[in-house]
This record gives sequence, C-alpha cells and structure tokens, in this order.
Amino acid sequence: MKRRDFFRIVAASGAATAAGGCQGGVEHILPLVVPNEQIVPGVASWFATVCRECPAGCGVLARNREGRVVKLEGNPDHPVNTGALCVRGQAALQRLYHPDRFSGPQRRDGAALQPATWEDALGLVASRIRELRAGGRGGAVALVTHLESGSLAALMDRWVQALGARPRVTYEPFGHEALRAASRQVFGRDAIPYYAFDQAEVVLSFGADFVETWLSNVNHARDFARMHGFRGGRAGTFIHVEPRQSITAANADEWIRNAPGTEGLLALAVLRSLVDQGLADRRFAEAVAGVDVARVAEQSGVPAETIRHIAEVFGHARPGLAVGGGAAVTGTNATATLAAVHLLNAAVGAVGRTVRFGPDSAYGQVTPFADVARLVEAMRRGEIAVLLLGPDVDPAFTLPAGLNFAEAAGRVPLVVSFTNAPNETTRLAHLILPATHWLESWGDYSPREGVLGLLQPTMAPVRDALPFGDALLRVARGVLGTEEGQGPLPWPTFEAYLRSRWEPLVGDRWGAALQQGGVWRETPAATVRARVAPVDPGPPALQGEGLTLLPYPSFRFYDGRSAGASWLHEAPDTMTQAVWDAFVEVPAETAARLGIAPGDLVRVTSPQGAIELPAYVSPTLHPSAVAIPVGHRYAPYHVGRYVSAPPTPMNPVALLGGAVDEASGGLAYLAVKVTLAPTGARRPLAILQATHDQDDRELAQHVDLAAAREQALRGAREPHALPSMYPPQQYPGYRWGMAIDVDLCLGCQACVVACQAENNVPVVGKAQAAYGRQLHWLRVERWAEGEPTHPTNLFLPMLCVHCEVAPCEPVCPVFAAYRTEEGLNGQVYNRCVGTRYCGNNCPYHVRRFNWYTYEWPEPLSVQLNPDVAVRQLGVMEKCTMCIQRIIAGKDRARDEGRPVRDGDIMTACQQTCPTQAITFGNLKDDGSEVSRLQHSPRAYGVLEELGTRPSVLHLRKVVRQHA
Amino acid sequence: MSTAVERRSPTFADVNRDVIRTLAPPGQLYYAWMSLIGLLLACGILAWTFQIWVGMGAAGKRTPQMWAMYITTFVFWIGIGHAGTLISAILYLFRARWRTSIYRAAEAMTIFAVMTAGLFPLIHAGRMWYAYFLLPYVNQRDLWPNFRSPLVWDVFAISTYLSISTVFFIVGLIPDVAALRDASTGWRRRLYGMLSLGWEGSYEQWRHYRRAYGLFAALATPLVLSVHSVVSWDFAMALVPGWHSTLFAPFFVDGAIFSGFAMVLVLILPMRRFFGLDAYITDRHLDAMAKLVLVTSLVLTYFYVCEIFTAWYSGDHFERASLFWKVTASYAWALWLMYFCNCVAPLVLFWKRARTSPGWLFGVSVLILIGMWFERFNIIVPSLARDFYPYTWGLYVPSVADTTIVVGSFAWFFLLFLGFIKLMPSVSVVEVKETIPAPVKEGAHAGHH
Amino acid sequence: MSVRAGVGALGLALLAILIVLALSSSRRQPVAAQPPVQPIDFPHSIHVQTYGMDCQYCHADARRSEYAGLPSVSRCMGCHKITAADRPEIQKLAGYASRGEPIPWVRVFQVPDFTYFPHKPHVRAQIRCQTCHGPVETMRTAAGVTGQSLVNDLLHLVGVRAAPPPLTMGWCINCHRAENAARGARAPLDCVACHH
Repeated sequence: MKRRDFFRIVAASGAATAAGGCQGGVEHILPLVVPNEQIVPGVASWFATVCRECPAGCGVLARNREGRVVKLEGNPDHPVNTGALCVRGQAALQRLYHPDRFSGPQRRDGAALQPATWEDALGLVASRIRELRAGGRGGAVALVTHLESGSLAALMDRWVQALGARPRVTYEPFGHEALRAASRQVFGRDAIPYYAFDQAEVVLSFGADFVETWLSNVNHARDFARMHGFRGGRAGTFIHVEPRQSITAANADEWIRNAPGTEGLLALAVLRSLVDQGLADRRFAEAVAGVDVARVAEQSGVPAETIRHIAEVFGHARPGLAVGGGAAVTGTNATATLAAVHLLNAAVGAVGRTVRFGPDSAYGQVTPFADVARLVEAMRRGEIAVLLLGPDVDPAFTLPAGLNFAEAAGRVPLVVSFTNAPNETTRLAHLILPATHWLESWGDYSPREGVLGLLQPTMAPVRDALPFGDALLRVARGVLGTEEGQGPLPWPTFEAYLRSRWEPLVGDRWGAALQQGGVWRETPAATVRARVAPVDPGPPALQGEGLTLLPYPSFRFYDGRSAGASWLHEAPDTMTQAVWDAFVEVPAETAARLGIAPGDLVRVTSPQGAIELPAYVSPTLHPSAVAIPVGHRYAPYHVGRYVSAPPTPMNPVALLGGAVDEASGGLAYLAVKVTLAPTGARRPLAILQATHDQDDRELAQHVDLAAAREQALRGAREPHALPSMYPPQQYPGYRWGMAIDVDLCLGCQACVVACQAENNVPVVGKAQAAYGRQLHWLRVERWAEGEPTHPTNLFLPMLCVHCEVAPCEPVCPVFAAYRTEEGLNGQVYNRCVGTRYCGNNCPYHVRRFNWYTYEWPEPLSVQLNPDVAVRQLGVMEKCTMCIQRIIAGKDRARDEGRPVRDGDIMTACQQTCPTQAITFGNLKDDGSEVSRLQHSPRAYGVLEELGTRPSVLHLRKVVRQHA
Repeated sequence: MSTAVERRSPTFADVNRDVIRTLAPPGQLYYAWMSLIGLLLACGILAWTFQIWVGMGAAGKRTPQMWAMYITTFVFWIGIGHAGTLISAILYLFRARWRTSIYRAAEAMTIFAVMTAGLFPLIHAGRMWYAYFLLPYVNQRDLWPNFRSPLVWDVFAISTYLSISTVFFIVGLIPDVAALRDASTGWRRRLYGMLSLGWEGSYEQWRHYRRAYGLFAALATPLVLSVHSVVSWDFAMALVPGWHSTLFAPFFVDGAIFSGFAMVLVLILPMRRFFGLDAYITDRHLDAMAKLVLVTSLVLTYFYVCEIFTAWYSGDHFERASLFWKVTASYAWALWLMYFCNCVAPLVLFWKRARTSPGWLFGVSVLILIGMWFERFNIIVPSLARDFYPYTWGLYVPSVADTTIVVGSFAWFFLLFLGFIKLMPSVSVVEVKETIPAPVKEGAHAGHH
Repeated sequence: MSVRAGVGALGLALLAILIVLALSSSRRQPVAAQPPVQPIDFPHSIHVQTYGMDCQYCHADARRSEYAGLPSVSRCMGCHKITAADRPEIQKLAGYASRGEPIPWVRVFQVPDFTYFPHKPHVRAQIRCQTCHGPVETMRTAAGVTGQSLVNDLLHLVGVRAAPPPLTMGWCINCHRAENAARGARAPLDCVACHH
C-alpha cells in the first residue's frame, strides 16, 4: 500500500497511468493537467456539510486530501453537535467507500441485475408514470423517503403535486410519533419539543436512550455531560427507568429496573407522590386522582419508597427534566405514557425551561407508521403501480414482519430504489437508481426550528451515481415533457433549486453559509399550557406467550442503515463488549431454567415468526423480558471476509406484527411476547472483554460525591511518583499528555471509530477479534461493581498511556519502542523486527501486533489517511497520540512563528468525544487544561503502582449514592 | 589403574575396532529412522514457510500470549545444550574419569541443541528478514541495537556459546579423526584428513593439544553458567507476574543441567545398545549420571518450592492471583504434569537398580524431558494468560503450524545427531585408551616396572 | 595438502566478495546513476542555467506542502505556447496538453513508504534543493539513487561510501544534527518525526 503519494492516488483515481514493473518497478508520477485551485497536493482542505446517518442532523467537517475525503469531524460551529460526532457519524465514510456500491443504474433481469444507462433507466420510470397519468392513475405513484426537512422535502412536495402522485411518505422506523401525539394531547401542540438537558439539575428518564439513539444523541450527550459531569463540586443527578440496562441506564446514578411497559404508571405515581408531597402544582392532582402508588409499585416491581424518593429528588430539582422514549416505551400505550411524562414536566414547571416548544424537532414531520402500513396495504391491493423508495429507505428490512412488505411489493409492477448499496429492499427492486452519498451531494437539512444546515459535495462521486433530487427533476421533465427552465419544475439540477431557495435567505453570503455549514438563530421557547386530564397508560397489549420482547435501536446501526460499515461491526457493543453478530439478551434466571449457555444459538419465536441468534446471558435484564438490538445486518462484502453468514436474519422486527399505538399511529415495538428454545447449535459471540470484574485491581476507580467535593475544596493533587534511582527525564520542548475523565465517559464508542478512521487501523473480523487479535488502539472498557443484578458501571477508555518509565522500551532489542523528546512512547514500525517482547511486557496490553497482512477492500483503501503509515505484516503498533496531528500542529505554529497553544492540537478521539471526556495538551505548560486536570484530586494513573508513570491520567468517576 | 573396569578391560586394539565399527555402513533400522525424521523435518520446514508467507497469525499467538511455544522450545533446547559443555569442560577440569566415554556424544548433542535453539528466535520474529537489525554493525542508519534489551544479550550469549563449544568439539576430535583418516579410504579419508589438520601424533603435537584442550575447557566452563542465566533474564527482566523474579538464573541453570543429562541418557542408552558399547559405557557411567540427575532434580524441587513461597510471601496481589490461577485453572494440568515429571519421577533413582538399569533410566529421562519442556511452557503461557490486565486475559491454543514447527525442530536435532554418529567417532578413542591399562609386550612378566 | 586447499578456497571466497562489493559500489555514484528514459526529454540544465529559472517556479508546492509537486501541463504550456514551439519535444508536450492527458513522468527520487519527508519545513529552513537532490542544475535528465539496504550497509562496512547525497537515514540525521549545532535550527531528531 503506497501512502502519502498524491500522484499515485490520482493514478488510482482513474487518470491515465502506465503500468510499473515492466522496467524493474518503474513508477510513474502524473501531474494534473490543469491545476485545481481548491486542492494543493499534500495539504488538506475541509468542507462543511451535514451528517445524514440519522435525522439528528449534526454538522460535519470533511477532511479532503488530494480530492479524497479521508476523515469526518464534527463541525464546532454547528449548534446541534458543537464539534462532536457519534460512532455512526464517524463511520459514514465506510458507506461512502462501500465496496458493494452500485455503479450506475441497475435493471432487474430475473434474479440478476443488469447495468443500464441513466437515460433508459430514468426514461423507463418517466414513461411508466406518463402512462399512469394518461390512464388517470397518477395516484398510483408513491414516493417514500427518510426524513427530509429542507429543500429536498419542498422539491418532493412540488414533484408530487406536479405529477399528481400519492402524497409522499416520510418513513422513519423510529419516528417518535407518540411523543408528538402526547404533546398534542397535553399541550395542544403537534410537535416534538427541544429538551435542554444542560439546563436541568435532575434528569428523570423513562426509557429514553438519549446516549444512544434517542432524538439527537450527540446533542443530548454533550448537554447531559454539562449537566451531570462533576465540575468544581457541582454535579447533576440522573435517574433512569428501564427494564434493561442500556448504555444510558449504565450512566444513571440510579437505574430503576421496572417491569416492561410500566413506565407510564411510574410517571403517574411519581407525579402523584409529588402532589402528595406538595412539590407540584396542585391543579395536577386531578390528573392523578385515581393513581395508587402502592398498586403501581407492585405492577412495576418498583418499591413505593423508591417512587417517593424519586419524586422527592425530582421535585426539589431547580429545574428538573423528565424524558420518555426508547423501545420499552413504544407499546400500544406509548402516547399515554409520554403524556404522563409531559404532565410530570408541566407539574414541576420544567416546560419552557428544560422542555422547550418552539425549537421543535424535525421528527414532527415524520409520517405516522399507520399511514406507512396503509401504503403497504394499498400495494397489496394493487393500487400502487410505481413505488419510488428514496436513498437508504429499506422497508423490507425495517418494517415489521406482520406487514409482509416483500409480498406486497411483489404486487407493484415497478419498484424503484435510490439506495446506492445492496440491502434487503434493492433485492426486491426492479430498478435501482443509485443516488449520490450525502458526502457527494448538495442539500440542506433542518434538524430543528432555527437550525438550517447546508450540505455540499465534499468529493466527486466514488461510483457512478446521480443526486436524488436531480433524478426526480429529470423524471418529472420526462413525464411532463417540459424543457429545463419551464413547467412547474424548471430547475436543471437540484443544486440550482437549492440555490434558488437559499438566495433570499443568505443573499450574497452564500459562501459564508457554505463555510459555516448552514445558518442558525436562537428560537425562543413558545409558551404552552398543559391541559390537565387523567391519562391511562395501562399495560400495553402484548401478543403471544412467554417473555416480553424488547427490540431496541442499536447505537451502532440505528435502524440498520449504517450497518454497511465494518468499523461499526468491529466496535464493540459497550455493555456486552460483543462485536459483529447480533445477540439475544437472556435474563440469567431464564437462561438457567432453559439451560441456555452464552453463545448457544437460540430460536426466538413470536406469533409472527422466528429468528435464531446467539445468546448473551445477562444478569441485569428484567426476568420477564428478552432484548434484541434492531438493525444488525451484514453487507455482502462482510460475509466470508469478516464473518460467516448468520443462520437467519438478525433483525428482531421479523418478530413484530405491526401493532399500532392508536393515539399516535406509531409502531408498537413493545408488542409481542416470545418463547426461547436452544437449537443445540452454537455460534459463540466474539466478546473482547475477558471479564467485567476488576479483581480488586482498581483499573477504573471511583470516589463518592461527598469525598469528591471535599477533595475539590482541598485542591490540587500531588502527583505521587515512586522513588527512582534515575534522574528525572528532561523534556527540551513540549511534553504531551492526556487526561481522561471517567466521570464523563458515557461509553458511546465514538472515539474508538474515530481513532480507527484517523490511524488506518484495519478491520480483523469476528474470529480474529474473538481470539484477542483486534487492532483497536483505543478501547472503551466496562467494569461492573456491586451486586451483579444491579451493578455500578465504570467506562474506562484505555489506550497507550505513554508511560514515562515504559516497560516496553528497555526490552525492545532495536529501539523500535523508545521515548521521544516530547514525552511520547514512540513506535517505529519500520524498525520493528516483531519479537513482541514489548507486547508481553506492557501491563496494559494496548500494543497491537500485525498478525496478518490486512486488506482494505476497494475502494475502502482510498479512505486511508495519507499522513499515517499502513503497518506491515509482523510489526507492533499502538496509539501514537496522533503524532501526525502533533507534527501538523507544530508546523502550523512555526509558520506563524509562535509556540503551540493549548487546544491547537486535538487527537482524533478527543475531537469526536461528545462529552469532552478526553483532554490532550502540553504538560509542561501549567496553564494548559490537561495540566489542570492532571493535578485534579480525582486524577490517578492506571496501575501506577507498577511505577510506569503514565502520561495519560484518568479522573475517577464520581458516584452519587442515592443522590 | 584403579579405574579398572569390571569385565575384561578392552585392549587398545579393541577400542580402535569397536569405535570404527560404529561408523560401519548403517542397517535398515537406521534408514527407517532417518526417513521418518526427514519427513517430520520436511513438514516443519513447510509449516515455517507457510508462517512466513501468511504471517505470525499462522501460529496460535494472540494478546496476551505474544510469546508461546516457540520461546518455550527455544529455552528447552538451550537447556539441553548445557550437559555437553558441563561434562566435557567442568568434569574434565575436575578429572572425573567416567566422562571419557560419553563426553564426545554429549558435546555433539550440545552443539546440535544450540543449533536447533538458534532457529527459534528467527521462527518467532514477526519479520525475521530484518533479524540482522539485532547485530551491532556499522550501518548507514547510524543505528545500534538496544544493549539494555535481554534479547540482545541472548544474541551474544548464544553465539559465544555456540562458537566456543564448536571449537572445543573440533579440537577434541583431532586425534580421533586422525586415527580414522589412517583407517579409512575415499571421501571419508579426505574429510577426516581436512579435520585432522595434519595430525601425526608427534610428542610436540600432543603437548600443544593438551595445553589447548585445557585452555578451552577453562574458557567454556563459565559459559555453562552464564548462557542460561542470560536466557533466564529474558523473563526475570520483564514485569509479568511469574517472570519478575531474582530466582530465575540459578533456577534455569539447574534445570538446564537436569534436562541436559536426561537428553544425554536418552541418546547414550540406545547407542550403547546398538553399537554394543557396554564395554565403554558401563553401568558405572550410568550410575554416575543418574546420581547427577537425581541431585539436580532435588535442587529443582527446592526452586519450585521457593518460587511458590516467594509468590505467596510477597503478598503482591498480581503474583498471588497469577500463582493461584496457574495451580488451579485452565493450564493446571501442565503444571502438575511438570511437578510429577521433574520432582516425583526422578526419585526412583534413589534405588540403585534403577540407576544402573537402562530401561528405567531411559523412561525417567524421557519423562524429565517432557517435564522440562512443560516447565518452560508453564513459565510463559499461563503467566501471560493472567497478568495485570483482566480485560485482555485469554487462553493460548496451539495451531497446526506452530505445533508442526516445534516437532520439526526435534526432527532437525535428531537428524543432525544420527548423521553425526555415523560420521564421527561418538566415543573418544584417545581418552578411552587413557583409561585402560597400557598394552604389555607378549611374554613380558607382570610388574616388570 | 588438504589444509592449504581449504585456506585457499576461503581466501578466494573473500576476494570474490570484495570484488563484487567494489563493482556494485561503482554503480552507486549518482553522477553515474542511469537517468531514466522520460516521456519528454526535459533538460533541467537548460531551464536552470540558460534561463535561470528557480526550482520552485515549476515545483511550486515545495514551500507549502509535503510534496514538491510537478508543474501542471498547462503551466508548461504557459511558456511553451510560444517558446520553442517548433521543437519535436515541445510538440510532444503540446500533444499531451491538447489531449488533456497528464505526462507520465518516471519517478526519480523516492524515500521509502515508511518515511515521511515533507518538503515544506526544509524550504522554510532555507535548505537548498541540491543538498538532497544533488546538482540537478548540471544534469540534463535528473537522476539519483535513493534508499538504504543491506547491500548499502555492507558497502559502508568495507568503507565504500556512496557519494553524496545518498539520502540514507544516517545522512539525514547527521545533517539535522549539524544544522542544529551550526545555527540552532530545530530540526527534529525523533524517529517518529519521519516514521509514523
């Protein structure tokens, strides 16, 4: 793999190249014919755009080298994510360079797909629609896309109108319809409010997995850290109610395990006891007149005193914030449940302060699932003749089995998919018109009122593709027989339409808007008044017998649209530390009863169907439930290369009937009971962490709130170094170091994938990962303390800690591992002979060995960071603290003739961390943030008793006993 | 002489005849052995080639066991390499007469063992094609190896040991090959001719020869102790619980001598049987060696006790956890096997009959070799399996490739040795002659001098 | 006698090795290095000496990037639309330009993949191009031999040193040391500065 070789990359990118080798490996270098102003070979340029991996709409900066996007980072100016990016955002690159991406239109010919030209393909669609319109059946054309809230949405409306097609459907598998309905019911406002976590003192969550996928996870995680993180004695409180210990639950100061579906009852019970304790507005008494705390307690399995305690804590909060959502709260009683939560917020006066209508979420524009179901019914009745499925829309995979989409699609004469890589739906499509990836497209997206993000192409399309908007325009022209510039859709391209819409908005500041990544303004909170009426979140209707199924959105794949990225499969699920395969989480009691061992292949049967998954025996899951992550699937290039094909689909929606929460029309995920049966076969999970028990080694440490406060008052910590016979090491220039706050780490894995993207870390696949050969330079460990059913979890990001007295250094026979002048523990790949002595001697085992020559299936190799070596077979590698960024930072500083300033250099993990748990900087500068943190009383070095003197210190987690 | 052997002591003529007989064209059995060994070796080479091709992943190594069977076998062979020099040098200086008939075979074994061991650092290295980075030589990178690294010490220790013992061996051969030269014809004659460096057995040559031999013996002696001490520091210098111990140097040296003698016995006994060398390798020799084995075994047992005691007495959490796990969990079988083979089995040698019966000795020796291989295994693999960091704890599973390579190394060793005994006098003619009464003329009267 | 035969053979072998090294060393003088056959016979000497053009006029990225960069075909044509437009070589150039093809230059200088050599800081430190690239201004077609190998090491060992600039690591390091000592330049000596 040649790196850092612009000319070669150009050659690879398709410019004429002469074959080397003929003259003893002669290598040709190809200059540009006409210089590109935007690109200086060897110098990165950045383009601002918006992440479209989920509807949260975070701002993204794409790092472009030699015309190739090599890294994504959060846009610091963007109000949603202020610089951070989640695990899915980081991995979006791998969908851009998806090896299975279609090149050009594909036409189904029996089982096979035949390439077609754009003219023919678009012409075909247009002619079909024309015929239908001629026959007066324009309504038989259906357009389905994911949530679009900007120009594209407007264009589609015009398109639908112009063609007289069926009203377009905005399909989001996790549409939060119930939240919207609840707002309608309680506040008479058909919207999803903005939740200001950072303004809250106490957060009370009923199943809302806001660290993982709920609404806008990066935004919420960052705000949550501001509210919850221990800062100068101040620290908020977080109480979470959920039957399963999700990552969010694991971050709660108090996790309350309730019986599935009882969240609404609990919310009311809390409200009741608020009223009883006189902590809430009296007028809410009538809403909870009928609520009996004791009965709720026995229904939910949550002790009455706990409920009262919650009420007390929540009631005294100035202000509090109650949120509801997540899998367990999407039953047939979802709207009632969330209405109860809304009442709770209203009762403590949180509305307008932490719950703000006004900056409403774009989720409010999602078509309720009930209407999607109606569309499928129409398909089945043969009322739909042309079905257009927008980019990444994958109903065959995401719709509940009960709807039997595949069968319905069979009745549609022409199914067109605009998805650019194979998925379950493209297998049904008659025509595939690959749309450009969002990193290759123009567009805009407004995640909430007042924030309008702007998308621009950050590079040329990797494979032959057409912007979705352009395709629609060309089809429309074909149908209407109009020319460019005339008719209802005169714009030649979507870009032109976009500019025409932005013209009045930004005028001549278009360039500035592009650079900033959009425009935004503060949106004042609207005043709403709660309508107090009793709500009845009775138990949800559950179909079938056995254990309640909790299908929860995977924080790595969301609804499955991100699952094409192998980085995401290789990044472990933080709670189980399992990579690749999906699993069924079985409560320990049940497992014991059915004789299910971890890794046994279990048949999960619901009234709708059955799937087979390996079992993960969970001590924490509620005994009456089983949990399965939604969204696990493999791309064709994964199977065989990284993992063997699973026996059945891994997605639990195959078990759902499609029951609906009547009040909102939302899909009830909490809708079926399932039975488990061991199949006798085994499919052991690849679990990276040998044990969650620290065996008294105090790797991840914690301190209780009171002590932390006291220490904080006592002030700086004396870095206690063990006595040494050697003189202290001298650092002529800088000394780099890091501080990682375990109290802030939520275990979201974003840093792991960011590191993998930045440092060309290969993907090894399931078998190798299971055998301790994963190559991540950075890992997020989960350590559990306390009783197994209800543990306190500590998330410990562990990377090379760059010991000042590094065990790996003296043992290396060739100085491949050595101490740099700037306090790093250097690893010189090309000097390494591969004795692996350092790997043995590193007490942290953060050194990684290249067991094989690892491949990057084309075109994934194009993503490789040209500033970082691709390591050869047989050498050791490890975290370098992003040495290439340090060098670049120093270079910049020297250009400006100044020393490096604090914050100039950010490591990839630090940059993407939603909670800013990681801080990097110069330890010799007492003013730097990292020095300040390293002198915090909470600072400690992992295994520092070995005398390794880590340059990376961790800060103890602050544990609030019953806050 | 007081060392008169039990049965009619052989005459000089017998010695010549018997020793030269060992070099007679071999029989079918020999070829059968050779071809089997050749086959195993071929497999080994194939496996190694495969490993170089696909990478170290072919071997079962992983995090945390970055080292496993290769280093185990490396240390094992280095250990074997000790008995030879011990016998030929130290026992020579102490004038232990009984060494004479066995030291030649032992020396050969030493050299071959070290040659085998020497392969493993290469087999083990991820990029063996850059192994020359470990050699200190002036280069255009202006770089030197890291002299703080025990691995570099190894390079010096082993190469020194190999060269000294080789020279020692060749010098010791001179008078014998000279005798063979005169007795043989054809290519053998030319070969022996070259090796005998024009030896005529003149008084002058004998004088120089003796002096040189003594000198080399003196040179080789300290190496017996140094080499395995250095190898032991590969572990002692590391941080890993179960490695980081000052006990290791003497512990390893004793273990080396122990296993070395076991290997000598394993080689000598069949030789004595098939070449009918009972006259030279007598029960007295066996008895002496058996006693040495017994003593070293007892010392080793003592070291094992120390090891466990210090781990417990240190009160160090990591050491204790590691020890407890080793004794009880996944790899416990290996540990207990080792204790049995190295501490219990040799105890039968307290029994005179066992000490002099080839069968018993052979059996015990084989057990000891197994035990000593597992000793190294137990030091390396289980210690790493449970070291400081619970996240990465894991079990090592041997792969086809690394197993085949290890087996191949044994084949390689035996190939060399079997080749040797058919090419060189495996019993020292000269020294044996010294130990038997000088021939007297016909009709001369006893005690005429 | 067999002994002498052995000694003789040994001697011969050593002699042979020395001869081989000596021969191979002769191939290591950059001046003698075979210039590759370039698609266009571009004369550095004329451009630099006759027209006194600065290296960075064509290799314009050197001051701001890791790569020195090659002039785009359009930049060549900037002058050669008029200048010497009738020459056959220039017509080749014009051909590439009109076809919109890049010129497949053969690469001459190349540090190994695992080495990060950025031109920018060297230009910033006012290091002359010739320091590393040799007297290119005197060459018609640029030529050079780069890289380290076991052979080079052995040559070094027997004292057959390559003529400067060998572009070997020791040579880089020595220059960095010298510069730092001579004029307090802050040339990095950390391995990872170039190997990461």
